[in-house]
Amino acid sequence: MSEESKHSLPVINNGMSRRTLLKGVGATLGASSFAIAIAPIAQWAKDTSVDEFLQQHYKELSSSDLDQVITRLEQDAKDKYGADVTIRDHQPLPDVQFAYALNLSICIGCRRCAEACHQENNHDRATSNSYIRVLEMDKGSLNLEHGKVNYDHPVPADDKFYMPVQCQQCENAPCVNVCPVEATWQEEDGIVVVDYNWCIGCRYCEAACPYHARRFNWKKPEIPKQEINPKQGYLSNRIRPQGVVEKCHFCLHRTRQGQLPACLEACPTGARVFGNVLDPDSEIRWVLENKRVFVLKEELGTKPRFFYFFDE
Amino acid sequence: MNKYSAQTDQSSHKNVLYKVIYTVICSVFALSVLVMFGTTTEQINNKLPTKGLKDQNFLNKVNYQVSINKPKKSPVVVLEETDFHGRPLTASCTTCHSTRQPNNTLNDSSKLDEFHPDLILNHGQLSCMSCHNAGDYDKLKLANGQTLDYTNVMQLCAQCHGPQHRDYQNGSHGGMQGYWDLSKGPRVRNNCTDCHNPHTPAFQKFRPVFPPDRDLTQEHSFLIDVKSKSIKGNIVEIQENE
Ligand code: HEC
Ligand code: HEC
Ligand code: HEC
Ligand code: HEC
Repeated sequence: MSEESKHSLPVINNGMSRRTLLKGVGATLGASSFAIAIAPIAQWAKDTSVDEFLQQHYKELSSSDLDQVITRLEQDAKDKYGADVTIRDHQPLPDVQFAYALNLSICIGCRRCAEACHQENNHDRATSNSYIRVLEMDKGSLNLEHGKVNYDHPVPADDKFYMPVQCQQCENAPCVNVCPVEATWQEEDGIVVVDYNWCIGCRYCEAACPYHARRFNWKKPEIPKQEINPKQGYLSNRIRPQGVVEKCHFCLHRTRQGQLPACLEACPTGARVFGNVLDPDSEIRWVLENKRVFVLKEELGTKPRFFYFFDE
Repeated sequence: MNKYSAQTDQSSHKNVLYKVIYTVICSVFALSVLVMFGTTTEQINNKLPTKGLKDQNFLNKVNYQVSINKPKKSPVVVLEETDFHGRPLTASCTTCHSTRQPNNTLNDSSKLDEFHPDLILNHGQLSCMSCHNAGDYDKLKLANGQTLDYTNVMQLCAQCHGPQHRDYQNGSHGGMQGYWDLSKGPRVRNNCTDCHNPHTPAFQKFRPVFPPDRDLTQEHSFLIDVKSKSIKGNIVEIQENE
């Protein structure tokens, strides 16, 4: 595939500055849709410091630049939220390719995973945002369109099964392909990340994701100081600015330090399996080799790293 | 054509030849590897993102342990009487059972009228002595008659639930906490009895927590606009089984 056809918009060359870029987007979209797409930016731009606005793309920051940015962000958290946080720039580990699998025979749909994600990742409290959605589905039916998310009765209900859905960390990620500013990309270990300071909030990625895994920050996240998780990652759970898109990042601030993701640890049923597929002795590898795993929407060719299976 | 370019031509022919030989050697090697480990490599490659998936020579550095929760050495019965602090008194199983004739055939908890009033057994058609040890009530018993400490209760479950125990050992049943990477930190695992009461082992029902945001729900009433064919694998089988 040529560079051109990969992007639905004219390819943005690295040389282009962020401001001309915004203009460029407007030109191709037409004025009205541009206004809608860009509305969030207009809204928050007045609260944004010049530093923040001009911050370079994460991948181009030198390490000393990044140190400065991180110091600024930590100070921001102190000023705006009163919290002492540590933001680290966790790098992919060598010889590690992450994958995740979920046992649908075991999951009971209790939503503890979604709750743990909410807390771990410093989501806005009022909107009870989470990177995970749990679908309640009829056994014997494959009609995912009718999967219900707001069920409220003891689980598991007879004749139902439950399917948590989060970012599938696709190798061939539609969200990455449509991003006009390359604010989202796949890292060496397979995790698709977002540079929250580079994202322009156009939400093309959100629309492109066949799994509805991306979330948009409509407003500045509100979190009580004592509930803020202070262990933060630059590309993961640091408090996101308003007007940007975010998504599950396999808890990279934990997993790149060897820990298990928060949703896995919170699962009371043991339905979740996570690990390094390059390690032949890993649990995830055992599942991939011994269970009949499947991926969602395989025909789209997205090549997810998130697998589902049933016990036989 | 000058001499110089002729030479390079020749050497590039040589290069091609080397490349062919190299490719042949490589494929023979790859083939033999496939024959040896064939199915697994093949399977994974079909399922996984292809990028970078090759077996590393893992020097599995395991600096930390996997520990499994263990129950108390032996359970006790909480009595109605209290000590002078007002704490309930407890009695070990042998307090009474060392002097009582064991009932080897009891398999119906509703027949317990003298004692253990609240105990309910709903576990296949098992009798008490499928697990308890008539010779020593402070211990369990395996199918072959061997005495087993309560701390090793998983061995008891394993003898009748092979598939779940296998899955557990491979990390796909029973959950875990801590580190996926044992070179960086330890891992803790649940005991079977943390999740399954041995007498009524069916997993309890939960009230779901954390209802999703209503706006979100409305935004995509849900969602995955897939046709059934997009889901491969066992779901289809489940459909047939149900
Ligand atoms: C205070 C005395 C007392 C204590 C302590 C006690 N039991 Fe019992 N247990 C009884 C009596 C009495 C019965 C007979 C109940 C009946 O048949 O209604 C019984 C019955 C049983 C039975 C059914 C089989 C049989 O032999 O009757 C089992 C199994 C059993 N107890 C296990 C235990 C275990 C395990 C403990 C320790 C956690 C324990 N008991 C502690 C008094 C006791
Ligand atoms: C599947 C194996 C199994 C069977 C069958 C079984 N038990 Fe147990 N029982 C256990 C285990 C394991 C424990 C220890 C639980 C713990 O660590 O709390 C236990 C604990 C007990 C206790 C002490 C704790 C409590 O729950 O009150 C009593 C009393 C007891 N069993 C009685 C019985 C009686 C009576 C029967 C038959 C009606 C029976 N058990 C059948 C495995 C079994
Ligand atoms: C002597 C054999 C035996 C032992 C020991 C035993 N089980 Fe079972 N278990 C059974 C049988 C039989 C069933 C019923 C299977 C069925 O209905 O298909 C069962 C059912 C179960 C179920 C499914 C319950 C349900 O209603 O869905 C669970 C969970 C379970 N056992 C867990 C355990 C655990 C945990 C232990 C160890 C404390 C254990 N079992 C020890 C034989 C055993
Ligand atoms: C983290 C909690 C957890 C632990 C630990 C755990 N299980 Fe389970 N187990 C579950 C859940 C959840 C289910 C599925 C329940 C359901 O479908 O409602 C299950 C199901 C089962 C079943 C029934 C399977 C069926 O097809 O009906 C058996 C048998 C069982 N477990 C045995 C074990 C044994 C043996 C161990 C220890 C090696 C163990 N479990 C450890 C959570 C656990």
